[in-house]
Amino acid sequence: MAEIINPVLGQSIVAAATFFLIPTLGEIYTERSGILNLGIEGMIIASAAGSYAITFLTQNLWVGIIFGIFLGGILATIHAVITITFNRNQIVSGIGLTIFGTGLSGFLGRDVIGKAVNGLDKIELPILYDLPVIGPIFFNHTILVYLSYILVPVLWFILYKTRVGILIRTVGENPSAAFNQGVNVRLIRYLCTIFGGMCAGLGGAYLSLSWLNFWSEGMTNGKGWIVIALVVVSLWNPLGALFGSYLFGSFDVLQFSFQQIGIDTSILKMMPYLSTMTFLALWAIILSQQKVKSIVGAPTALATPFED
Amino acid sequence: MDIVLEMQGVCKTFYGDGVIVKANDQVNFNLKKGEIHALLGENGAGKSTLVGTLFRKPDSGIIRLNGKEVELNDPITALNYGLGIARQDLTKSLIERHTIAENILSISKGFFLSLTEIENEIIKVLNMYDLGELDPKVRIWKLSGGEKQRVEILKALISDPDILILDEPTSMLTPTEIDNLFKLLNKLKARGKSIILISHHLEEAVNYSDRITILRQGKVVDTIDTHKAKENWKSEEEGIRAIANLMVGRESLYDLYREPLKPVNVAIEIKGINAKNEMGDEVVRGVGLKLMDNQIVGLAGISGNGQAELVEAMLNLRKADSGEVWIRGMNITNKSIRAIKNLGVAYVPEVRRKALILDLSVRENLLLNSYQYSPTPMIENDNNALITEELIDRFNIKTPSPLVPVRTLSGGNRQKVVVAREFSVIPPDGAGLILIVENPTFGLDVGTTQFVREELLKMRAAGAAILLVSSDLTEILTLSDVISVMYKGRIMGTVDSEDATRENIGLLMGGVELEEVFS
Ligand SMILES: Nc1ncnc2c1ncn2[C@@H]1O[C@H](COP(=O)(O)OP(=O)(O)OP(=O)(O)O)[C@@H](O)[C@H]1O
Ligand SMILES: [Mg+2]
Repeated sequence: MAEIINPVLGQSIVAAATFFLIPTLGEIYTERSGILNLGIEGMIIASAAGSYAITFLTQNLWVGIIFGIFLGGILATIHAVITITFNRNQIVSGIGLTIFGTGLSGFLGRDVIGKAVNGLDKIELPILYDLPVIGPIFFNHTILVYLSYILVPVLWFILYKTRVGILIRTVGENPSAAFNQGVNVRLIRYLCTIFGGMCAGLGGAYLSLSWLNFWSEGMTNGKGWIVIALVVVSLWNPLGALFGSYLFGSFDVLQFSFQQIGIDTSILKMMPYLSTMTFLALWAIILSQQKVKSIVGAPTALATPFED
Repeated sequence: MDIVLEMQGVCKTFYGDGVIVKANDQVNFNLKKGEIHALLGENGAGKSTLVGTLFRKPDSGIIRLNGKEVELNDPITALNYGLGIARQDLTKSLIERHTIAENILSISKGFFLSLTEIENEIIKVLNMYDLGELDPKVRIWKLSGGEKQRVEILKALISDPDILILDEPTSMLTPTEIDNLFKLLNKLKARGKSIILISHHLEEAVNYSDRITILRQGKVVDTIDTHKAKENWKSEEEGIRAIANLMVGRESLYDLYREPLKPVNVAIEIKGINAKNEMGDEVVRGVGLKLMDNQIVGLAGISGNGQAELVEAMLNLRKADSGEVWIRGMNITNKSIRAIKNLGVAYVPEVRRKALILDLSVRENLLLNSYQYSPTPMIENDNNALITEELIDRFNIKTPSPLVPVRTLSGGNRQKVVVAREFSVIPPDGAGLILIVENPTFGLDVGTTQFVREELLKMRAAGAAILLVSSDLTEILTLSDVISVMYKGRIMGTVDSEDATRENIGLLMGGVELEEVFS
């Protein structure tokens, strides 16, 4: 237990969790509108490379980060055009996007491998930093981590307490019903998909410019896929995303502490993926109960094209 | 009177799988201010399609509102022009996981969502129109069919439309609710609103409409003035027959005859069944029933009194908390549905969705029961084609081809697919069929209703044991040998058809004890 309270360890958990959290929040919105975007991994890695390269070129961090967000948005737009305008298979398009994004990352990052860039600085938040225990863990981070703290309640509020939110949920549950009530189904799906892409892009920028602060090919190690699972674990709820991301962030970091007690590294490296599978299996059992299903669970129209 | 809506030369064609369906063919239709205009026709005649063109423009044709030509390209435009619709297909209209309030988006404004405001508005409108109790905080999946239908009507009413369209609004309502609905429509009429009513209950059109337009195969057959026509009809009955003949194009309604039979063999017996609904409330309480070969047992009751749960518990589609089910002397309690069906049990559930795979073709849906009897691992297409052609023909299923997805069929024709499949189940070893049907004629036009009822009587004569669950009293009274009435999960009493009248069964349905009814 003392381990967890250790500020350095706590800090690294927060840093790792943020990497999961931002794209998960975006994908929650995408899926809530009924679109499944399996291209998360591709968008994250392309943006990680792109924002790092642009920052290196311009020596301006913000230009790099904004480029990352923009790139994620553009990639998601491709997915949107294919699946929303042309009603093509969302799974195929998403996987295609991941393959494309991975290739693109190699191209964008080819000149900056091993080159150093000054990443985002950590900011100690006044007053909050002085809180006992949690102060140093939560309030000594880069601005992107703080942004994620704000995004969670804001996105939750929008989804559940605003008109836009109910429209998004309606579109994801039953697009025909939404359309019949005069909702522009395609527009909402476009916006949510692009927003999801922008969040994935920001996640990529966070990875290379804030959390790890370098670029190397394939540096995501397929962790973008965990985001897809996290959306399920979070029950498509931004507050759940907070829980899920921190849980998986802990798995990601704690594997290194276990190394010290002599467990083989190759086994430990499987931890995030193993825990993903365990959780998905567990959730599948819970969510398949009829009673549970009628209250929470995947948006009813998820991954089904809408033809009016 | 002013004409508020005029449709001229409206055409709508559906294409798919090499077939062309002219669902609306040069339709002319007009609606006067302050009238109830009934739109009638057989299943698949194109009624839903016609009103649909007001929310999604037709292939060709002119639509005028108050004399001005308009283009109604999408639902929002139509809503803004003051059109409101309660649709037939509620699966495309209500969101099961959301609450009633969350389902009614049309009146939410601004950035923030004030559910309390919407909830208050809902309650206001419910009271204003006497639409009965509905809790706006309840989720749709918890509601009964009738309640969902009322939500859909409420949804149409709440934006206070000038033109209100109701597509089969009464199919799942109780008699009292239907009365209330027509009181409401008359009030709206008095306020100068215009109403289009689609219904297969022809008596509603005869009694309440001002004019009637009849569609047949996508074309208008006739528009008649109900008040004038009534002067020539001697009775409601005669009016219904006259309209039915126009709909079908030939003499179609005649009295059914139930020949006297002496049932001897017990086919299925259930004892002391208790079961819960999705919310965990006990809705079936100690129900016992006995069903014999050559017999129709009518299970009457206002829908939502546990009938559906009882049947599901019988067939092990729902867990029975206690009780036993015996089929031909064999205890089948908790046996798998496959094992039960193999004993020659056929089932037409109330919710069509549970019996159809909408994206599969009509042929595949008709064959769902028989695949497993195929002697080889291959699907025998020639034979299957033959069987399905015959069923489509016999049950008069209006489909452009057996290969189109069931999804594209009109509501009533989907129902016919289920009925055709289940009515043609062949029980093993020459035993009599055990047929459990829930509201089998729900959504069917008069001609098909007649046909299905006749089929039920024929099957009874051929030895079938039939449990007819229906909230339609006429259906129960014309078909059943024995009538059991269910109220709040209990059997209020079982009455022989000779002793049953509309009045005494109606009282039992309302919860009056048997002793009081027959004292
Ligand atoms: N989306 C669609 N694709 C293909 N065909 C369709 C589609 N919708 C309707 N049809 C066809 O158009 C015809 C008219 O259907 P419609 O739903 O208007 O009938 P209806 O008069 O409302 O019948 P019911 O009383 O059964 O509801 C039917 O033959 C139906 O198969
Ligand atoms: Mg219809």
